Amino acid sequence: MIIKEVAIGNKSEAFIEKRFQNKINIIFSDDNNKGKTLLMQSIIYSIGYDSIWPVGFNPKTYYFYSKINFNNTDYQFLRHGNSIIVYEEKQFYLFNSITEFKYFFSKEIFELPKILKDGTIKTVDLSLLYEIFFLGQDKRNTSNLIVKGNNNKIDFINMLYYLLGISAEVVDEDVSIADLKQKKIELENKIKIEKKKISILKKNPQIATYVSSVANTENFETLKNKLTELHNSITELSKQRNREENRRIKLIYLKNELNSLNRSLKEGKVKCADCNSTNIIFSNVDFEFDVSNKYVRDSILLSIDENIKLKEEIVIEFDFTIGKEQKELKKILNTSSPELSNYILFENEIRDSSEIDELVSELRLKKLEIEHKIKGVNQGLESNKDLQKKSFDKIIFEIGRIYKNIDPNGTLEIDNLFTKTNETFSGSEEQEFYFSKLVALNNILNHDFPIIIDSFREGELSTGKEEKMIDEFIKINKQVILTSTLKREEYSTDKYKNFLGVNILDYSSFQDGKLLQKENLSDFLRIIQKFPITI
Amino acid sequence: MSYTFKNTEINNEKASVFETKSLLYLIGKSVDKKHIEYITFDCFNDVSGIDKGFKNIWDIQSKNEANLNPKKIGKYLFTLFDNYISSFNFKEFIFFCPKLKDDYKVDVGLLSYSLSNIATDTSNRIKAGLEEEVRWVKGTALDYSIKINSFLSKVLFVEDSYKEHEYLKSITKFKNKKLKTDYFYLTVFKELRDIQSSKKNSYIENESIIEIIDVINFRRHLRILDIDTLLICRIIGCEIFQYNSIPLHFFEIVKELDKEDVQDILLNCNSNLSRCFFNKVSTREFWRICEFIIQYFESSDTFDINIIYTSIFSSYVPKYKYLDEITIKYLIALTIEGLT
Repeated sequence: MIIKEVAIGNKSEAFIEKRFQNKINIIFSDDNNKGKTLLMQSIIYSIGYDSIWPVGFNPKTYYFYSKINFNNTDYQFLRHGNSIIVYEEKQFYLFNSITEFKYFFSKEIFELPKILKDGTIKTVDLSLLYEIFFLGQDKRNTSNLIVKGNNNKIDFINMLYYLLGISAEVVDEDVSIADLKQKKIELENKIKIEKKKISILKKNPQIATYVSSVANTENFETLKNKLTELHNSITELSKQRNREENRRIKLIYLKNELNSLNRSLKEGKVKCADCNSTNIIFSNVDFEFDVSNKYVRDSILLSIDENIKLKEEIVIEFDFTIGKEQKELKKILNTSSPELSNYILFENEIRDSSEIDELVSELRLKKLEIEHKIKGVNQGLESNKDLQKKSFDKIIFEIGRIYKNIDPNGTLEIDNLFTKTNETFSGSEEQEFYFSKLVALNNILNHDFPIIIDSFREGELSTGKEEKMIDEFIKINKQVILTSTLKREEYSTDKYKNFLGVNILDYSSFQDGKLLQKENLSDFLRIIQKFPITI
Repeated sequence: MSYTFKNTEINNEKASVFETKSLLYLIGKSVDKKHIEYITFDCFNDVSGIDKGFKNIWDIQSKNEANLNPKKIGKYLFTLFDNYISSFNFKEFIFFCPKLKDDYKVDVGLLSYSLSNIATDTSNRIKAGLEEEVRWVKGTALDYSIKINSFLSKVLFVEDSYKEHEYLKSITKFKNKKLKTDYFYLTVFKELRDIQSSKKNSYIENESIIEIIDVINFRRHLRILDIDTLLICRIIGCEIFQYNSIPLHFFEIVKELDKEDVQDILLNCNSNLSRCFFNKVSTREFWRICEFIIQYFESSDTFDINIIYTSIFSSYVPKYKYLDEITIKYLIALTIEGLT
């Protein structure tokens, strides 16, 4: 995978970066706020990452474009919200959710690892995959994934096993179906009780409308708007989720309908009286063919099955996003000032109801997990512990090796891919750990992705170590994209000139906090024109 | 005790595969492929192509024999020669065979060639073989030597040098071929082979015709359009529900709608098309619609779905509720997608 072009923009402003090369690219500037992080997050956002944006940037109002080469084919991606359009060799593909895009990605671009999760085999999320080669600047956390979503550390490690060709793992070994079924019934009952509570709460008047008549402070206005926005967003998301669910059900019915047509074909077979052949074609003056064959029909049924599974996952994705928005809503209600709380008379009810909501969705997930486990037991999944242990050790060893290379006197004891929660790193140690991990994963997995690190000198990394890292990057011989903010005394435009084979992009001259400019607009719109949309 | 089948007609299967290959060569790889409109089976020869006005015939004799020696080749050329001296206008005489021995040929790299690319010694033996067969069948009353010479200078030797699916790929105008596996093409090839074999089950020995067009009455022919439609139908069938791609030209007619509604329409169209592929009742109607669409693009290059729909289906009344206007428009868009 080679990143060729990235563009961000909307109707009024834009930025385009076309200078990436298939080698080490260092984007640097003499100060913060030059838009480096925005650019780095945009690259990966355009292909389905759940990006962490700089404060104050609202991605919902922008379009993110990238041109990326996979296996010698140029793909162009355009993301807006959770919709992605892919343009490839005169073909357009439109996806209204990241899950749909994920399946396309897995089928046409790069086959995504499949891991055992909640008792079922699941195609990994793109955000999880990208964590093997992408490191953002914010919310770094050595003890866990940076973007979690529905994933956890175990998923990450299982994904690595898959990439190394080791089969899936089963967590519980002796689970009895009877126990599971009992648990399922218990959960169902709990859900029923919690749901009842909600229905009682829902009888209360809607909080936002009630509150607006008493509120008058400006502070409250903005808060109210934020609340309305969240409410709308939740309603909109729920609507979308329901429509997807509706489509899923329609597909299930269609499948039954088609199957019954197929069956009636099987039941009333026509035979040739002469030769007993069942291969009879309908023939008369102007017609001699059947419109489909078994291959076509099987392929349709298979695609419908895949679609049903896909819709199931989309619904879960929506549930997750809705949950996120609900949490946001709850956070606002929790942190509002005391006077504000007085206005918000029904705060408690709302809080309670959102807690119940959360509880219900948690219970639902648990129920799903148990259902999948029941399935998993039936399918008899196998594990391969020895090989996993060996590969894991190999990765850890490689991380240690690279770390010692950069910092021969370093004191870090690396014994896992993630640190313990209470372990704290000094600034540069954290950077060294991440660096060693990404390079080690690259070396062991031998993957086709570039390495992308936003702020690769985070934590006062010394110049000596920095140079060693760049040398290491040159050695791995693939596209690397780094950003770096230089201190005034370090800054000179030829800072990285000494390194051969490094492509240097100096962002110092950009206006503070103004990466997106009006003057790039016409170029940006030209890019957008290629896609069948109007912005 | 097991019983092993021996002495079954193994050659039958091989021969029919080879005939289907020669058919696909004629409509996919030969120089004159564009002129050919009909294909007949086992009438004038194993496989023959006829042009639109029923004026010319392209004649193919196919022989799938591993060790074709020159004498045998000469013998097998007889049916072509017999056509050559008939009153009908045969345009080309093709001998379709497996790769010939290198020392029979002058330029061994050529895959289709005339007699001039055959070594003198070999060509003399081929000629002798043909002469002997002519004497055997026609007797010695007439002297055919001049005609034999001029005939031989017109014969085109074509060596079978592709796999089954490769011939099929060469005849489809559909662009997104890469999505289909070789296995897919092989199943279509087999269908075509079976259709071809079944065409030969009638009895026409000693029937005679006056004009080329009369051959249609024997129902041993296929239109090129049939074969095109067969393949395009199969390809489209495999694309149903495959992706969420909106065909570019279909987008034009739904772009004003809400995104979610578009999704529902796509789901609906895909569902309807899959019903067409499963429900035998509507087979004929669906086939006709496909033919209309494919035929339309032979003479037009408009891509405006609405214009296309009105010009083909202005008086169309849906017989089956799943073959409605929007589904047909979607089908048109899928066809354009493949053809452009």
